[in-house]
Amino acid sequence: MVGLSSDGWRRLGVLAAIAAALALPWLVSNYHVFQFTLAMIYAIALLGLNLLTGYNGQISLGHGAFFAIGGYTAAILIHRWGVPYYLTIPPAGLLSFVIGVLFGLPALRLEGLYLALVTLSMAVATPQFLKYFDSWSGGSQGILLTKPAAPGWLPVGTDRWLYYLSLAVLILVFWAGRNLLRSRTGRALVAIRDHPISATAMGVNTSLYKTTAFGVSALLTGVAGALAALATAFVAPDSFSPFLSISFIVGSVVAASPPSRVRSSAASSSSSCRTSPTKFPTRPRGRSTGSSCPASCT
Amino acid sequence: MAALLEVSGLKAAYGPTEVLHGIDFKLDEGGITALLGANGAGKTTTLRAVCGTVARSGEIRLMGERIDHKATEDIVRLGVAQVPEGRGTFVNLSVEENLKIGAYIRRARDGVARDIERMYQYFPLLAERRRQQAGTLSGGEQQMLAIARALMLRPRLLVLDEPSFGLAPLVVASIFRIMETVRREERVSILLVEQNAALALELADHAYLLETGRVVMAGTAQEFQRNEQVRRSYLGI
Amino acid sequence: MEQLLQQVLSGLATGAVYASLALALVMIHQATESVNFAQGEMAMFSTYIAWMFVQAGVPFWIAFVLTVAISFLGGVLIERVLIRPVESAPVLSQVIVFIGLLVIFNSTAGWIFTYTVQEFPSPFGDTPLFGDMITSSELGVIGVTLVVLALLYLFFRFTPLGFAMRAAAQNPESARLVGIRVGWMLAIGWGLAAAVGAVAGIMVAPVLFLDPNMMSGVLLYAFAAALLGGISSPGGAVVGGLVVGVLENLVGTYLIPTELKLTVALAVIIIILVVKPSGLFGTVMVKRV
Repeated sequence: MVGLSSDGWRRLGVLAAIAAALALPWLVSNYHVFQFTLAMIYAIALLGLNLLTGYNGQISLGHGAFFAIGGYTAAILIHRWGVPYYLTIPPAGLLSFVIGVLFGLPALRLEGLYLALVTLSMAVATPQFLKYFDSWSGGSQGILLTKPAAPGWLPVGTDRWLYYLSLAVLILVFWAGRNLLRSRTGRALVAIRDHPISATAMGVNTSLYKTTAFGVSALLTGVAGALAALATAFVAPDSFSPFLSISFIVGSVVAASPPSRVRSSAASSSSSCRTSPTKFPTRPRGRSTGSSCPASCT
Repeated sequence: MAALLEVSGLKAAYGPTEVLHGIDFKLDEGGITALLGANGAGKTTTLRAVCGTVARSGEIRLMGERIDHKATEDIVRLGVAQVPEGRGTFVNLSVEENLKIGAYIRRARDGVARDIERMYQYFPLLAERRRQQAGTLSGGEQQMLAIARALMLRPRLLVLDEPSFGLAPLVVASIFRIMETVRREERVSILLVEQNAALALELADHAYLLETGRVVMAGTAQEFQRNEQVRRSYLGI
Repeated sequence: MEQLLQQVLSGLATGAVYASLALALVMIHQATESVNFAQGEMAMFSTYIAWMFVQAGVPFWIAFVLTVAISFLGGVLIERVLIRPVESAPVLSQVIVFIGLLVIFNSTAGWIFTYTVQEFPSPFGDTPLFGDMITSSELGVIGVTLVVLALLYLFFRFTPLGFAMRAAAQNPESARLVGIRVGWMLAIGWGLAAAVGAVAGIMVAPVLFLDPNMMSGVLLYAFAAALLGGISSPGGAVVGGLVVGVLENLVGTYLIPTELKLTVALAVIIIILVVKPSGLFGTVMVKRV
């Protein structure tokens, strides 16, 4: 073991974690398996949100809406047209992606607080919409589903099967996300977050990346929503209250803040012309003749 | 003459980067001292350290009392007024309101109106614009306003950070002339940071030269003006 | 036509409540550059305190004054203890703190006071006035709001402390250089915002009925109103609040049934923002590189 590099240790750690995750359902009760499944589903949703807010700097207080879209898509497909459960996940993701992009477009014009308001409105509107279009959504009662049984070739109970399904999706999403963030695309996203003007000046197509980021983020959360619908076998408007969106954003900040040394100065410099609200700047910034802000500032 | 301001072993840092590596200087009561040096030498940082707006260590004594761990608001109350780089005008307030806010901490309300009039005598341009929004003033006028606002405090020590920056030479000359008058009539000591060494040395009686966070030369203004190296590197003669 | 006027006046009454809360949001935003998402929950909590006083037999207006004073102190305390540590943190961290406050106030209220909906007394009665144009409670709400707003305006415009607070909010660094204790100015700002929020809550509680989730819709409208009026403009916030109140009422009466009212009104506001991002009265922010 001595000759292992830090990278090697990390890989070993990841393999150990995966092994532990695979073994887990056999070590705990069914109810705990169910809870772990839900935890993993939320992790997928948080990955989606983190991509948008953490890495791309677009704040979203409304991701519960995409969770709902994914969940209801899956539920309606199963309930109305008897689609097999595993085929409902891609459409759920796809529909979430499309709506995410549609939201990303006007979001281009908005930033910070304004985007927060719009996304918060989404969060509030979601349960209302769901209750209103009750012929599709089943209204306040929601839609009841049956938990999918494991496929014939895998002799496990339903709860364990859903656990493994979610685990597979989580690993896939995590791996894909990690590769994405290490690529050119990932760097472009971070550049847009840290200094959008410079990013544009460098030739990054900011609008394209931002809308796509919204779409992909929505896709991931939608997939998580579909899995949640399958795992809990139930969707109802009140499960998707604004508090869900709030817990997502809190979870994403607590669990997964991407590291960045320049983040604090960048966050304050890219959101308003006043560079820092209280303390003096860390380095004397460009002076101006009048004061630190043009007269038109707040 | 007693030293109004005495600084020894002053260090300052922005986050993990130390920028001042132990500076000693002093300012006599009624005197004008200039801190000279190139860009990045640490002049502005020194002023910030004195006024308490940057992380610092070392000894700073104002009239014998240590102020190196006091907050800016308390240092101001001891009679230190700073004219910051970039003027720091309250752009959305009028000229007169800027002057009034300069006197915020003074208890005696009646003297304030008289002082405002006196400021208008020093800076007639400001009198013409007393109701105008400060953000619409020209650079030179804003500099005058910043100095006047600092004087409204009736300070013992006036600290000026790059007053000539971004201003036309004629404007700068008139401001420096007014400062000489001010020093005489207000009986205020002045600590001045300037990149324009020639101007600073005309006004000051003592000077210190900073290079990358250390004092490399100290003396009277005349000594500086006669020094060959200074003449070549900083006065362009 | 008469019904239209009635709806407009009724909308002005709810609009007055939105205006108050929007003003509180703008006040905090001017000082901290972020929106206090917890403002509504703080107002709700204040309203519960007023309710407790009233339940204990305290006369309404004394309970009102006591609650406003307690809310002021509470606001000051929250700023000093919870907000000061994150003063220079990135915007997202501040948003999280505010959201945290939101959750804490909401849950604590639910825990202490339960989620049972309570009735809240209105000191103005319910008499229709001016030939059924407006009720006495609506007029009372508008009146109280106007008085509070006028007092605030006078305070900020004509008192030395109000002057210092304006300066500290505009330019904290320069304010320090003239000796203003910027930290305490912020704290007082929070206190005032909390007090104004309390007034808003007490005014709206008779209509919405008191429960821990009473203010979430109001907060959203207030937020939208503040942005609509231009987040940098207190006057704009007030106008924005009134506009939102009237709009909500008209949309609810003439266009869409109640369930979607909130959504449609918000959609309209969002469209306005996309077209004119700085709001109706806000100043356009120029981004310097």
